[in-house]
Amino acid sequence: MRGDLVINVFLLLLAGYFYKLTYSFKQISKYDVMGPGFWPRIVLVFLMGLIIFAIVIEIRKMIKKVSQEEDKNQKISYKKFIFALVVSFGYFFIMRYVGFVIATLVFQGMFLFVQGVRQVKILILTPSVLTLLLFILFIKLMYLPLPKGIGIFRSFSLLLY
Amino acid sequence: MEILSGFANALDPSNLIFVLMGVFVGICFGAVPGLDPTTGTALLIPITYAFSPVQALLFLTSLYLGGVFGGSITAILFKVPGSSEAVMTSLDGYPMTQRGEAGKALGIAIMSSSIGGTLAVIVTIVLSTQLAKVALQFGPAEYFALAVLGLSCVSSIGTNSQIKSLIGACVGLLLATVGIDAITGVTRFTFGSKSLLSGIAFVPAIIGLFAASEVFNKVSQKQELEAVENVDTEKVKTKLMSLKEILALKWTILRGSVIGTWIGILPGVGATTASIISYTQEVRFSKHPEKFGTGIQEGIAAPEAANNAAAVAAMIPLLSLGIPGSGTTAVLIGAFLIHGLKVGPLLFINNSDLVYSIFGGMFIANFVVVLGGLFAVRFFVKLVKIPYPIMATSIMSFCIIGSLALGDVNGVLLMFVFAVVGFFMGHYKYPTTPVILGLVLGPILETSLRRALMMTEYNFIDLLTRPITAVLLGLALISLLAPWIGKLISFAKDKTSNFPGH
Amino acid sequence: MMKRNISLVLIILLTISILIVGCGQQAKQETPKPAEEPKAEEPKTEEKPKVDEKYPSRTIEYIIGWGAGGGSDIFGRTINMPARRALEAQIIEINMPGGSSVTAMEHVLQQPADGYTVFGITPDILTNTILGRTETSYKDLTGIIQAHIDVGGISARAGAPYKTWQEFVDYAKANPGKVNFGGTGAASFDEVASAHLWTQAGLEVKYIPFEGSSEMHAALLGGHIDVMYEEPGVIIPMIQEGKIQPLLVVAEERVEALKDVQCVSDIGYEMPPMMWRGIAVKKGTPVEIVKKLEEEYTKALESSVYKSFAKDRMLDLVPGYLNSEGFDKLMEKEYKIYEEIMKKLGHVK
Repeated sequence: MRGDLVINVFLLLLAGYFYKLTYSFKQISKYDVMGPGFWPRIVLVFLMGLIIFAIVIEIRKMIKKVSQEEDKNQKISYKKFIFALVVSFGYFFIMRYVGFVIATLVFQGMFLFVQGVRQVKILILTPSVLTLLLFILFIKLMYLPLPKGIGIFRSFSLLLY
Repeated sequence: MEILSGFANALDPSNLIFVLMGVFVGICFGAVPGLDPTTGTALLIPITYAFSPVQALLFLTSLYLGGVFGGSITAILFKVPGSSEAVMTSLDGYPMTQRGEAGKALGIAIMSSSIGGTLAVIVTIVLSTQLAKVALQFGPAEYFALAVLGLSCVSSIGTNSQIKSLIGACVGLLLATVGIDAITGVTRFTFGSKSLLSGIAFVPAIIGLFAASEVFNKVSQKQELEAVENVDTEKVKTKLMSLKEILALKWTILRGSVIGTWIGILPGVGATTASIISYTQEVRFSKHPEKFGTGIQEGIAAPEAANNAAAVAAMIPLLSLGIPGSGTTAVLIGAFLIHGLKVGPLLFINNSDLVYSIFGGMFIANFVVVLGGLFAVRFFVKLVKIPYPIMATSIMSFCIIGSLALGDVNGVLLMFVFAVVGFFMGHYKYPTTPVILGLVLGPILETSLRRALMMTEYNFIDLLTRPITAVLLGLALISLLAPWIGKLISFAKDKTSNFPGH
Repeated sequence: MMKRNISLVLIILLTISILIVGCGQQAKQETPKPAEEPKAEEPKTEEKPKVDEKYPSRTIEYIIGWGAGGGSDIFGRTINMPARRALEAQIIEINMPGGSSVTAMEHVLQQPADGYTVFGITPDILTNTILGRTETSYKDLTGIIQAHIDVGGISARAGAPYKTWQEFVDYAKANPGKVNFGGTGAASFDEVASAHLWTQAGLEVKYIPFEGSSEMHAALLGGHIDVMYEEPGVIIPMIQEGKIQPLLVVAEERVEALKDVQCVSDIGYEMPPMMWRGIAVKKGTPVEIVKKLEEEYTKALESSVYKSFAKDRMLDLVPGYLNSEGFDKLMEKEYKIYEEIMKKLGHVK
């Protein structure tokens, strides 16, 4: 598969970069002969060896044209994946500005929407109940320091917790 | 017989209620991602201030045992390991759920946990002092060999591509080196991030790699999903194992319990490591190692027996030496202190009543786990009926808040990175388990090796010829070579075939 | 079909929440813990926290830079029991382990300086800055109190060929570079404090760092390391049983609990820095709030709960109380000492 090859080459470059980084660690103790860079180097050499091996196999497969274009997982829609990722990440991102409660309500509604739920009732009810549940569990019982937001949102959060 | 009075004491209704409460609260803690049993114990210690010492310690030890089991419920049903101890359970548990055998998987988890824990309690009662002494023979060199043994089966776990597994394991080992180096204090691969100073946080990593990536995977399917796969929701009932089924798994459970007990005794390695090593050893002993990861019973029984056994056995060094065997037992010292007790061998002499009551309580708690398990499972299984979009939303919320709970905002970032990586790994058929194995065992592997070499002035021969080290490394070598040995044997039998070139 | 499902979901979720809340309350009701008495959980005050005259009007967060079960964790949870009563406020402890409390420090400094975030600190906040793990420093904090000094010590296994400090020094000189010395953490307090002693003794000792003290205790008892640096309060049961032989108590004068063990002035050395625990808030917190916290936490130190804890853990061997002002000065002084030793050890240039 071409994808495998791309991943392997990418990993190889990354491993090479990390290998270079290991030489920037400083040697401190005279008793620790190996130093902080020794073990990562062993692992990286191993890793690079394995990747090169994998690349050779891939190339041989390509030359021999045994490439069985089997299940390329055509069922996956990258558009949906990106949407889901953006929504979840956005949730975490806005949480520190608008506080936990509001962010969670909005996120849950949007995440349902991304998944193709269009019934307004579900879009409103599920987030309300779920947020309440999470609120009770994590804030009222466990006292987690979840973000309260800033400005007006902070004042709102302070009313609740 | 002091132990009998200990049992009687634990069975006294005023004490029994604390065992029951502890197990139930523990299961809840274990099942919710973001709350692990160690945190739970620490959170509830102040509450026990008002209890009598016996009640407090029964409550907290039961809570821990319940918590170690609780993680497996969500691991099996949703591939969300509720606590790190359950990470291996999801490997075979979740595929069984997808096949509609959730009830059976949970039944195995309950029974193996209970049996593993019970066996460990018996060992604790009978051999506590002797075992603790033997455990002291385990120095850095032996810890290193143990970690090697845990990693040695990595190439045969849940995959058809050995090379991809090995690449994954190496990546895991590399990730384990991120943060402050334990030997020199030098920071490695942190790229200026403060939260990476303490390394890749383990729980956000498994939540991302297992749970969140699974949600992304399902959500991005082109066809809409109604409920969790083809789970026949009406049929999901916990089926406790029949005696026959238990007997069929007797060696698996026994091996798991022995490995778990032993690793539990060692300070610095806990129930998570125990379940990993138990799982990998089970793969090695198995006649059909390729089936692991596809949803087979041994894959649940081995880690579950081991993690509960380890949880119990962590009490052995605590009570006989005063050295906690795990993070949670370290927290328990605080509980002892609150009640004016000092742990150590003197406790056996000065407060033998209490010690035997704790033993009795742990014994009973393992049975309560069965009850509590059935009760909790009946409850959680109902969640499977919920339409998947709602379920996905809840799992995602728990993933994010759980990662936030166990660290800071960077824990969530880490979770997302692992979720995306896990998503693509699944796509390109890279197994995620080896990464986790590398991540957990990496620090033990590296620091014990370096520590051991420093202590012996870099005398490798000295290191390798220590008896326990030699045995463990020998076992590891056999596991590593097993696939090739198999090929050699078949080659010898079938002389016409060519030597397998690799 | 969908409709029925929704109602089912709602019912289930509601049951969970009721069940969970129920459980929580049950647990709380059964335990009339003294700390809950003030019932200051939810003061429905609409006032803004800017001009905070009735200072503790909501929950105070006490940040612990280490995981559950460690010395700082247990100290925080114990001192807060009486402190809740003294301050008449709810205080919750939050563990933020990571990077020798760097994570917690950064968190504290991101919070507003309003006294609702309190930070339990150790000398690590000094060494972290020196090692360049963080740009923040002790200067960003205002000390509330130094609560105690945790006296350290050097101990060996009972069967070892040395019973006193001098015997050990002789042994180490006869076996240069062979002695394995254990401590917790790399570039940590243990390493610095002990290095201070080794330099004065003129010894070459291998420092073997351990992640957790339990692992180190096992390594000492198992004979894998020769000596270790550890607070006697943690290992006193093992000392009493005769499994561990203390060689030196790192204190100016001999302590009551270990009368037979030599102290630093007995062997004529200069004192290394000592391990302390204290409480701090972000710099810029209003003076009145600092005063209030100082006053109430000092009261908490006098409570019987804390006193018996300190006695059990041997935290009262030497006087370790400092008020806000004294604590700030101490940190300034020790910062320089640490910087010097760490340079000598090669951790910083």
